[in-house]
Amino acid sequence: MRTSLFLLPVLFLAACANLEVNAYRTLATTATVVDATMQGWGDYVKAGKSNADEEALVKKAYVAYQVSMRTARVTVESYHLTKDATALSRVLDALDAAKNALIEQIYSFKL
Amino acid sequence: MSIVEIIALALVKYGPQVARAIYDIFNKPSPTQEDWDKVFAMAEKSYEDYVKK
Repeated sequence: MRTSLFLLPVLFLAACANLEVNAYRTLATTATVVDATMQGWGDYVKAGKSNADEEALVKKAYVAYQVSMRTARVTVESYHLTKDATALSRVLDALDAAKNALIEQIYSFKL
Repeated sequence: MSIVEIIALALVKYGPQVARAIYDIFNKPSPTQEDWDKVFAMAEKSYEDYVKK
């Protein structure tokens, strides 16, 4: 079931002709899902259920996700000029991978 | 997988607030600059923003 949500960006790009709208849907959905997941993680940490090693791993994965999101932002903004769909697709794939890595990391030890 | 199925999965996994947010995302025919800014602002929250008491 979790895998299905991870497939979101691929489905979006394949399904629709308007690349910019699809990029928005992908990025907005990714940010929403990550935000919800991180809120859950935050509740877990605040409840004292995590240890320092786990927190370090999640923080590292979250920072990596943020780097991917910033790269996606730059690529989306430059897409208006470049119309480079391949670059946009590549960046969204990288963002998807970063999102998946973060969520998998949290779920690897969150009960 | 249809959008309806994705929203249903989000509802089961993340709850009604996230499902509603995804529904709203897909119902935007054309995102505005404000919509884009909100997305990127969400991703700029620091790790500490989530875990600090």
